[in-house]
Amino acid sequence: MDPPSTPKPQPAAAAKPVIIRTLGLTKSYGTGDAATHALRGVDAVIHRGELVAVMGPSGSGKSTFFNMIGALDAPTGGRVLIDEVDVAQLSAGELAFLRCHKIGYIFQQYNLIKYMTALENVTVPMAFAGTNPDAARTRGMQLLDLVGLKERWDHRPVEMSGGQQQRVAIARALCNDPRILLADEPTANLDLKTGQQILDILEEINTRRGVTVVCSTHDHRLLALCDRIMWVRDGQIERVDRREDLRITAGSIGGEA
Amino acid sequence: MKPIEAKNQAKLSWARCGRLALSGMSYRMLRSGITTAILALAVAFLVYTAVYGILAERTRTAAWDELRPTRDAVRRLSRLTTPDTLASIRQQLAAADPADLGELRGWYGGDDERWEQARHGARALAQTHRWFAELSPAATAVLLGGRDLAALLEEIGTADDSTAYLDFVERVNGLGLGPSWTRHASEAGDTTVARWAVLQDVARDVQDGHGRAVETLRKSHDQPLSERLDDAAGAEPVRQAIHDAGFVLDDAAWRGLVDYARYSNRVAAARAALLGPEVRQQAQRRWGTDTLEGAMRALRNEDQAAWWSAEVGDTFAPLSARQVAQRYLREARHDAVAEGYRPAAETAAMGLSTGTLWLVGLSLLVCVVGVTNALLMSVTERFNEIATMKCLGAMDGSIMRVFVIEALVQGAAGGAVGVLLGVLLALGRGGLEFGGTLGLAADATGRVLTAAAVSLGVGVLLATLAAIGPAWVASRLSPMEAMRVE
Repeated sequence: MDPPSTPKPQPAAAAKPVIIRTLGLTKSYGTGDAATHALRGVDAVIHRGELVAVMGPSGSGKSTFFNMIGALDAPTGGRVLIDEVDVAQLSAGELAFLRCHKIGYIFQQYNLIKYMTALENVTVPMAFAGTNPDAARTRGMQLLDLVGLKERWDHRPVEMSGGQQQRVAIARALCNDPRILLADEPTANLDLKTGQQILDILEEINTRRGVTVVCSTHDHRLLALCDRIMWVRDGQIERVDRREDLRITAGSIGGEA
Repeated sequence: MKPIEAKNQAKLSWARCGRLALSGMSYRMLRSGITTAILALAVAFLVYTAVYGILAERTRTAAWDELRPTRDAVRRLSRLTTPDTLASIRQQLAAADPADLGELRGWYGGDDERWEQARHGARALAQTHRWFAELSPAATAVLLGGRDLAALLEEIGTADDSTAYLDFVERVNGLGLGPSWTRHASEAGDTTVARWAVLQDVARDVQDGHGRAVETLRKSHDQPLSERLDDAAGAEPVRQAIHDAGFVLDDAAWRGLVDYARYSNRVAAARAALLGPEVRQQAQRRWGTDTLEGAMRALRNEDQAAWWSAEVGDTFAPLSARQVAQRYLREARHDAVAEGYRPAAETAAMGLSTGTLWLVGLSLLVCVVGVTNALLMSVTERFNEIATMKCLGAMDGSIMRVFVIEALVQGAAGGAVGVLLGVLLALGRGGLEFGGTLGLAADATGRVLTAAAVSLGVGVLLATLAAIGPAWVASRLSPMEAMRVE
């Protein structure tokens, strides 16, 4: 089936304010003939309070897209607007502030700091934010409680399973009360049961706290939880579905993965 | 909901960066330990070489100075007993020591003009000797045709024609040593050759006079000279006899002479006592050794000295056994120190010979490369960690601070251990080689401390420089770029 050349606008969501917007976003690695074009002009809109799933095959540009909207890497062309502010215009200090306070990141590889305990890992962003250490510890314990790891606060990453590490990473991502939570294949390295736990936590954060969640994934269970799905293929957004619409075409999803 | 506002992120405080650095280091204990150990080795090597050099040089100089009166006394004593050789008279004529010259002039007794000519000749000869000393052995062999320099000069100086000299000059030119060398050689050579006959005559006359003086001295008393000098009552007539025989002795030289004679008589008496089988057995039983060296070591102790006096007799009076023993041991060590270290210490600044300096330089280079590599590795393998920190909102400066603190701590720890190790090693080797004489180097403490401080500084600087470079590169990258570096 041929993808439409441009994604359809989403009139139903227009009521909510836009929190992330990309305009003609491109990203290439390498130069000249050897260059790989990971993104080839992406125009995407994510609204406040949404839970958006970004789906697509490996190498389709999901992770690159994720890094761009998280202000973790500079685009080759186009713009990323977070809350209508162009990320490229921010100074190094403002970028660090944005990453620290406004966006929470969850990675496929967890990226916990090896030599720190679960609690220390959770409090690192609070240290960068200048939170008082005692307050940070209290809040860190609350967050570990939230992800069900209160008992294991003094365990180092090597002493924890993948699912536990990922839950620590979620607690860490939440510690400065971010507006946006970006999760890059958070369940890819986990078994079905722990994957489900992670997805449940993400959904809860979205619904209870109103945090905008953008989650790139292969995991089709997320489709049941999200508001919208962005299908990415060859560095472009193939189409965007609303979950309500998806139910009608559910039969065709199976062949997609 | 409020819109997102972007403020400037603050840098993490030094204290918090310090805690981060320390917790990281304690987790990577083995790697940090190895890095610190390599650093410590480098610094230890640096400190050891410098401190040992300082100690060796200082000990040698101090020992040399301290035993100067003894050396003078030995020289005097030898001249009071045997006529000097022609070579040593030629040397004394060339040197400007007024006491020596007065003596030689007294024995010579000839006319002043020949005396002055001989002195000129001796100086030129000394110059020629120096010139030859600077030549390579191969060049010397060619120039002298395998003969002794004095023999050659004798031949040239006494030949009726100048063929031998011309032949010599030709060989100097033939070696292509350059005009200044040739001029130098021929000026000194010309003077030597021209005055050679006079020089030899005057030197022989002086030698004869010296011989007659020694003979007179010997006739004036039947005892060996050192025994006479030791006799408190008989010493003054001996001094008069020495003076009458034409020897020049100032007060200091006289005191040194008497002192040395006294001391060497005591040592000789102790040695004689040890030769008896009875004393030897007792010494073996009591001290576990029956050598003079062992006895002298034991006699530094007052109790042992009292035992010796009771058993063997008062062989040391009027000097105490301790005085004799201390001086004996110091002299023995001084000989060893002077023998072993004089050539090395004389050829280099700070007591380091050129060969050692090369070795030090090369080893340091190896250490620097090792340390730099270890620190580089420890930074580059943590690019992922740096990237994660940046994702979580760390400022570049905060990351730099963490790495700088880590480098400073490792540099300071490695440096301190290294300095301690190096100083201990140097003191240990110095103690083994110089024994008690090492105390003579106590006034070099300031230099030792300076060397230690400089080495510590070098260690810290090295660690910081090696860590700052890659950390700076890493902190400048965008988080994802840093994460991609593997």
